[in-house]
Amino acid sequence: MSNNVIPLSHLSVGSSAMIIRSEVPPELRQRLTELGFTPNAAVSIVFNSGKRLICKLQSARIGIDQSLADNIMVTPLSE
Amino acid sequence: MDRIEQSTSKYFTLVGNPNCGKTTIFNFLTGLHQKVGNYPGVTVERKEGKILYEDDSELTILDLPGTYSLSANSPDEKIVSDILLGKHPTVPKPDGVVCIVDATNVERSLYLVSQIIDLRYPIIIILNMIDVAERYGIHINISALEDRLGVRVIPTNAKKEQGLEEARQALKTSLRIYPLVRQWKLPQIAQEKLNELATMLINYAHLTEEQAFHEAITLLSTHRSLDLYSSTYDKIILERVAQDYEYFASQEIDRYSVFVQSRIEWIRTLCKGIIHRESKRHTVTDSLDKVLLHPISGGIIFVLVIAGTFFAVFSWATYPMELIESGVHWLSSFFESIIPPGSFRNLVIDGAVAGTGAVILFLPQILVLFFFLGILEESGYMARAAFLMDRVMNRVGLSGKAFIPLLSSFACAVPGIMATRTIENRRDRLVTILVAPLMSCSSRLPIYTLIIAATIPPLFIGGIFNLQAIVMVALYFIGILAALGAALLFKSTFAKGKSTGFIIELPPYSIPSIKNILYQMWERTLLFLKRAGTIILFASIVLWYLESHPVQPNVSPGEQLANSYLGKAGYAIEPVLRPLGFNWKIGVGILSSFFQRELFVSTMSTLYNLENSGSLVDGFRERVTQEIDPLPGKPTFSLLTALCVLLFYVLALQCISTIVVVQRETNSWKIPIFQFCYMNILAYVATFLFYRVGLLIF
Repeated sequence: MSNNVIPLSHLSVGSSAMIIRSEVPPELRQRLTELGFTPNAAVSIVFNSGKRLICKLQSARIGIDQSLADNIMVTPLSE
Repeated sequence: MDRIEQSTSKYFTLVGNPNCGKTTIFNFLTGLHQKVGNYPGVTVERKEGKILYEDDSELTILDLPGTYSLSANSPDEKIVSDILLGKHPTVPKPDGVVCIVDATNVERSLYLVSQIIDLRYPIIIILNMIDVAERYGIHINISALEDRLGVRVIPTNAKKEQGLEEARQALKTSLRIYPLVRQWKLPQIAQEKLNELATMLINYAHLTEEQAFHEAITLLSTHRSLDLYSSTYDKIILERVAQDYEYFASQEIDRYSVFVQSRIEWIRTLCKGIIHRESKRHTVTDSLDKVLLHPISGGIIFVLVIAGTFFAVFSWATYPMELIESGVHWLSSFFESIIPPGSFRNLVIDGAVAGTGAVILFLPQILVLFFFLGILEESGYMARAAFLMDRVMNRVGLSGKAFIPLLSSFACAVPGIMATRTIENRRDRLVTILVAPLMSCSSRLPIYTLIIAATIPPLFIGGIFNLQAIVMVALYFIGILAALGAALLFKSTFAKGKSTGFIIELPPYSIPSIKNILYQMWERTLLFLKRAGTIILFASIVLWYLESHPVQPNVSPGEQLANSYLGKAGYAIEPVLRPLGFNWKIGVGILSSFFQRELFVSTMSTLYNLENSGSLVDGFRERVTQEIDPLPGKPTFSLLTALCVLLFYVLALQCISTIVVVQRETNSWKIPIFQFCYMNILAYVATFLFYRVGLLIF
């Protein structure tokens, strides 16, 4: 496993990663957690326009904007 | 809010994440034995129903709003957690909980389930959308899940009604299931602190064991300032919590995440080996999203979808509207033939039939609009529309989340305002509530339709664009622009602050359940007819009385009207409305609209005696274009006046239901009062300016 930690927003469509931590404000962090953005969860990107992206966590599709994606730190998974 | 009937029969609540198919399951379980609160539509209002079993036993079911957790971060979650914690002022604690779990997102759904288990409820799990899960390549070992949780798990495909009968029967027997015991474990230090705090809450705040456990977790992990709890808890408790914060920090435990994380670890272990996912499968939703969210094709489709919806509202409703019109006409002549001439006949025909008939006429348009909004919601497209519109909404300082409430407000501002509950940011939510009633709701539609059809010439501009249609579209756009403009103004003044973080779940696309949508339309129809049969009927009769009394023999109908109570009231307010170009009759229409907007149409119908004319619109056109306003010596309803009335109705807030729901949702009178003032002042000033400028042109 690589030690490469990058923001979620840097991932391109089709790539997957493992969530390390989120550095968003606590009130949004709770919402993200409930939706499945938790440490060690796998996430893949299905849409990324730069400003907004859609991630897939297990089978759920969650749309988030860049301000959040910039602050969710992940380790890319190579397939 | 109506109370759960105080009876000996048991009652369960339905709880689950948004988009888990809860409404469909509720509809199946309770059939027609439902009591719906004021506003159905999206699952925001409380719905209560009964399951009637073959042996005459019954079970009450309360459908709760979709929620991801009991953290009480949004008003919807607060309702759910208040009821389950037994803290709700009017709804008692349920005897058990039916948890709906989305089979494609079991782990996430179990988060909420584990919080309910903590409250020691007898529960039963309905594992819905099992068919979708299979299609995604997700295989769930259901009996293993049952064993590990110690709960009955019933797989269902609610859309196809598979497994639901079994669920219905299971609810009856599952009542005997004993409450579960919490299985998830905290790190020892955290557990100790939690226990100590819970004990304090039991002793000092007199909470039950379950309430104390839940509240202790909330207090220890909250991101809110403890000052906010000062009215709820004693200082001694809050001081203790503050000490605990320091202790957690000294032990390097992240108090925000330790509780959530422990729960999630338990869920992961629980699911290990019983949920099997095949490696990535490309789904239909993936392919559809590629097109529907594409910056170009997605944008075009969005515009077509919205335009198509409104096109259907106006074209599909024509035939049923004609039917209703002839029905009303028939009813009029029927009463004329059986009631002897006199006051009573006038009351029935001129008051009751004409007044309510004029309003019921517009039911088809409203239903078509609800039908399409239902399809957008059920198909999963609504969330995509919000995602696409995030960019546009950002321009006025709001997020894409504000789009769904605003779109719903085209149907009715009340469900629109309730739908703002999903907006996490408090300022954004407030601004959305304030501007939502500027979207042209369906109760304005009758007024638009009547005035446009009667006064705007049906010219074709350039051979293709119908002038009447252009005016209608323009009215909707004025409403939208006013709403966006007001949002921008509010967001740059008192509700300043960047909208932080846009999070939206995009459910998988699915074929809308026509049954569900028809159900909603049926509820809507009942609600509408109830209103037509009560408030509007009553107001129509009162209006008729006021315009035909005191009775003056041997005068012309016009003079009779002018000297009636209503006429006098109209003349009294005329000075206020004269600057807008409105005569006293329009004034009366506007006054009555403050009770119920559609009453404008009933008022016009009564004031202009339209019950005798062939069709409402034709009759109205005939009368208003012939009538000369004595003061300027011009027709009362010139083209300019008509446009002014329309503009006024676009912008004015004339809806008691809206004011009530805003008060309830914001828990403040200041906000609805401010809203009432700003919208009506805006309507008055804009109409005044438009009229003045118009006088120079026309």
